[in-house]
Amino acid sequence: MVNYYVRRTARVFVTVFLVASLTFGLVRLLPGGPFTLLRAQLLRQGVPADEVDARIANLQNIRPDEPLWQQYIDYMLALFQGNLGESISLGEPVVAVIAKAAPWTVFVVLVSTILVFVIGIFIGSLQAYWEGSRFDQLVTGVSISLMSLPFYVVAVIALYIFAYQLGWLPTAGTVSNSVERSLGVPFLVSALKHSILPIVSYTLGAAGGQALAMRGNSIQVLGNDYVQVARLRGLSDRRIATRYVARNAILPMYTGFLLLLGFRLGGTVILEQIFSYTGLGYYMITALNANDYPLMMGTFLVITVALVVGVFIADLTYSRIDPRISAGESDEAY
Amino acid sequence: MSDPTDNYSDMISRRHFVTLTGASGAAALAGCTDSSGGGGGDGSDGSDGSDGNGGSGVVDTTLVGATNNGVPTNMHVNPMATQNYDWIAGNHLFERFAAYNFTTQEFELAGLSDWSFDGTTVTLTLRDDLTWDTGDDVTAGDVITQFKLMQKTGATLWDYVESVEQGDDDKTVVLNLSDPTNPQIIKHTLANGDLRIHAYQPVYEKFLDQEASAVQQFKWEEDIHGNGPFTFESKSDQGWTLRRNENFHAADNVNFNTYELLTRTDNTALQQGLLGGELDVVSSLFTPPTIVANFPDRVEEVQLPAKWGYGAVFNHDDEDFGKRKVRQAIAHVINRQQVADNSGPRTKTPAPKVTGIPPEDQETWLGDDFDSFEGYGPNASNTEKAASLLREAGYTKSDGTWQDGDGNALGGSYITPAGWTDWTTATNTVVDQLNSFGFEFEINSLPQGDYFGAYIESNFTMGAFYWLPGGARSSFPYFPLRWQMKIPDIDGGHNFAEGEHTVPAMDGSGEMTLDPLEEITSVATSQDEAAVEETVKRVAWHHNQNIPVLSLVAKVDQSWLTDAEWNVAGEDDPARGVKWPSHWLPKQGKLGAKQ
Repeated sequence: MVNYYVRRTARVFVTVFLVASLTFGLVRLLPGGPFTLLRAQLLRQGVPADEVDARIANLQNIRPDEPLWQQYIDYMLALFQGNLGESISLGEPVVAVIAKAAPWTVFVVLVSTILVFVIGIFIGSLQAYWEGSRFDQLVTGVSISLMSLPFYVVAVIALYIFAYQLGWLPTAGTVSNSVERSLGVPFLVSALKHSILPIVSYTLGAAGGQALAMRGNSIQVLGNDYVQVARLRGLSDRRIATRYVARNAILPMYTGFLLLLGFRLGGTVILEQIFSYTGLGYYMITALNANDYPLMMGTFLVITVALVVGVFIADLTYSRIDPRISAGESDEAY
Repeated sequence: MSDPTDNYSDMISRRHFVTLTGASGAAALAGCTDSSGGGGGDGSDGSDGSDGNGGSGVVDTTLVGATNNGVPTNMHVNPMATQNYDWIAGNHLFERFAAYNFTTQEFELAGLSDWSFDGTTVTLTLRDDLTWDTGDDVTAGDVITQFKLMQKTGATLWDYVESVEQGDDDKTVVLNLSDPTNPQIIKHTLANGDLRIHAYQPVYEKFLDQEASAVQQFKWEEDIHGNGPFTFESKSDQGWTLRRNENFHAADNVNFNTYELLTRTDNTALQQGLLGGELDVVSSLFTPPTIVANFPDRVEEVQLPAKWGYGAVFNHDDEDFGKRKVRQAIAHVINRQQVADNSGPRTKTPAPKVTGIPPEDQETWLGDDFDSFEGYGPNASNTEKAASLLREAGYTKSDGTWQDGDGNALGGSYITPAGWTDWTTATNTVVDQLNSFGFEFEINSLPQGDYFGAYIESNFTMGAFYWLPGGARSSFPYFPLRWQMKIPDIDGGHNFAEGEHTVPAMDGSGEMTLDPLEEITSVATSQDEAAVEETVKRVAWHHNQNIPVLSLVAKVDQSWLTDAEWNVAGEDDPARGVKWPSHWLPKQGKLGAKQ
């Protein structure tokens, strides 16, 4: 058992190391240097070419002219100390930028993913319960339709209807500009209002998918011998549904939840652009547009590490939920 | 054309008139019968900001604009910084020296009450009532500090200025020029919209003794003091909040107490903001006709000449496009009217003549010679003429494609910036026209950094590029004609050869040889208007024949106001001619809250 935890933990470190190395390499494969855009901007502002060179030299944030191996060692050593460097375009430590942005993204993704599962499990269970009914057929159709509609299309339509046409919800941002930035009712209400559209558009399609998954799992469990035996024992439908069916049908979805949490962090790049929501995805695009290596690497890393950590937690906790894992019957939690 | 006189008393009178009518007009529109009519009336004393609680007739409301420069928490208001200066916020906090009115084509003084030009001396007089929001006077010391820091950071002004000193009093600044300089050049430099009176001495003085990098990396985010119509109150990740500056010299003209600038990342968000009523004003925003048609009646468009637009640039070191006849053939093939129609029928106009002068100024500057300039068929593809030029240059057409002597197709990669939607359409049109004629171009759409990078590094053959530097200065041909040869924006990456060039003579007989760069540079030191006009014609003719950059279409800037809750200057009001109306009109009393 200890061996299982040790292997899992070691795998996390190896994965993070590989991700960090890969991020470092991939970012540098991008065309153009980190100062190409800044150079063009300064020239367009009428700053003489010599002066532009001097200004860029004055930006000591990173030294892109050093040999690649030197940059790599510097980067990994700094990373080991929790230092992601300084953003070239924003002139701020990347950690500070991420610290400002991450809570908004985590909030939207977490709430949305929880909703996806709560709604998915509830609807999927009902569908399985009434398998073949008109409700089942209708919900299956709606779920498939929602799944086939990309979330950004839902986002744009929702934005158009509820923000621009009806004016019920704000069009952009994380919180109203006029609200004081302190934890209080006005702040929370404003933050909630600003997050409704991103959360809803990020939830709808995925919830449909989870409902279908839950339906399938439940129907499969319903056909198992132990459910038949439970019925023969004369147990109540409620007990069978909650203790026997739901628990076993939800089990495979548990790891999916944690994995999805990590995956969906990456999807916020588009979502946050649509809603001008200043989270991690927003800054990732900013960094990409500006060829801002440190910020790009920082945001990439946070998103991928979140996924790795999600898998790790799933691994560690799955054995608690499914005794077959701790008994060594299976090595994989997902 | 710009006002040629050196004495601006006439403009000052006009400004005083504007101030007077603006104040009373706004008051009348807003029904402010209790407003003191004399504020800033004669301009000699102006407003004194004595009405402590925001002034009579000030409406407790917020004008909502937008900034697309970045998230305000990452931005600051140090205009000298290399990065992250939010000029939209800065424009409201800091008064400008002067402004160029695109409608009247005259300069209007703002923070200055006078400027005079005498040989190598330029005397700038600051308004008596120009103060910081602390109530302290803006002094010659502040401006001298700013100019000295501008020298440190290599600002364009110092191309002409040798030294700066205080004049007779602490409201007078004297610029000593290295050579007698054409006053228009100094005026355009000082009236540049980005140049603001911002160097609050207690903050900026310390940078005088430091390296340039110190001020370039300084983020002015705390203890911000300005002298413009609004003062800094706060910023968040969602926007800037600015308050009415009671100490502003024309504070009486501003009848609302808050100006908010919300962060909006892209054009769509800005357009939707206007559509949904979330935004009251947007300083500059390209909006296609379909969206304009959907705007509600409250949204007003102000069109102003951008003196900028879609053109094409050649790599003059390229074996093919370095040849004048090839460039001329391309000019003949492209139907400029079609490019304008496809990329923006409401906002784009074809350049009447291919040269380095904005469309609206061409006839004024070229006068009777306008008709003799080659038109290259602004609304047609002159394919026969183009074919003849290419044959003369040694190319042949085989299987529908023009080829050089070695059988290589004439064309290559045509660079265009990704994401500039109207430019993408223009590029598609141009490349389609050229390929239909027999060129073999393929479009290479690049992200902005790489796009400029390709030009800077001369790693291109031909591509889309703006053919005018833009802004008010483009109205004085010295700037755009010189710019087309040097293109400082790409560090001269188009490799246009300096020195003498021989082109057909203007009168049609024989040839003329001239050094266009040297000739246009002479305008900078000339104070003889007739000589300037003659030189401009000669260099414009050279550009028409030799085509350093291909002029295709010019656009108008679209600025947006709303009038549901705001009293806005009427369509005929020349005050709308200063960029940007949402920045300029409030302090003129021409954009005020309805009661």
